[in-house]
Amino acid sequence: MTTIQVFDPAMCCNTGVCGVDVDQSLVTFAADVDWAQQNGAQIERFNLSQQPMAFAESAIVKGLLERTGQTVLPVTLVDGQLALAGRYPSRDDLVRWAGLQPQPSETKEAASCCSGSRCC
Amino acid sequence: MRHLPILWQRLVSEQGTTCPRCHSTGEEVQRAVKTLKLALEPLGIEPELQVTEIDEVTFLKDPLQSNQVLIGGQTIEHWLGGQTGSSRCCNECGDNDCRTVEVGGQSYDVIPEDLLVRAGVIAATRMLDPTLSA
Repeated sequence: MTTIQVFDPAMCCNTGVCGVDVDQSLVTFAADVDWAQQNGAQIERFNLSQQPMAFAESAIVKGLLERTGQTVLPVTLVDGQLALAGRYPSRDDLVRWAGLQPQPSETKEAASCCSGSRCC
Repeated sequence: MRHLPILWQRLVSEQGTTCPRCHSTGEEVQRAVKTLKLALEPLGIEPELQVTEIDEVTFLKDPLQSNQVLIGGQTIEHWLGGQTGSSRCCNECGDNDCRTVEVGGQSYDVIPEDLLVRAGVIAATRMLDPTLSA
């Protein structure tokens, strides 16, 4: 099974969605990770402030951090290979990497339900 | 070695001058390309910077073309999930509102090195992703 590892910047908690001023991209990503895990994806997250050794132990992540600084975070590895850096993966990314069935989009559902000006 | 094209274009007047916003962005772009060269070399990717001038006629038709950075053919706003904005600039630009970049709720007149580096890293890793067909 594909393993997806996400190396987060330093955050207050495991998902970064606590506190009063929450980054929306973190909220969206946390929900996408939750959805993907429920659908069978194997995803691990590492927080720089809580698990710095995980960053040091990955040659790819360590190298990127040394050459670019924390700008490069978050970094995502898929089966140990660099897949994305600098931003969080989208749900579509997680679906592709983990080989999950794509979620039908709301637009398609609406199209199959509604016709012209009439709707269900 | 694969190449990551980085294009920066800005207004240059008939006198050969540009505005402070573009001048400062130019310095940030040069720094970002140096950082990206080091960062991407182990990944087998080399950033290639192309700097182009926009004349006043072209600028007046579309002021937002000036101080635009394209990485891998896409704007940095695309890579960073941001938006293009505009604000009043300076004498060289006249009464036109010039390009700004809005990312994470912040608006930038001068595009800072760290945003350019982040956009470059995202674009480069997208090039490496074998599951992306495009």
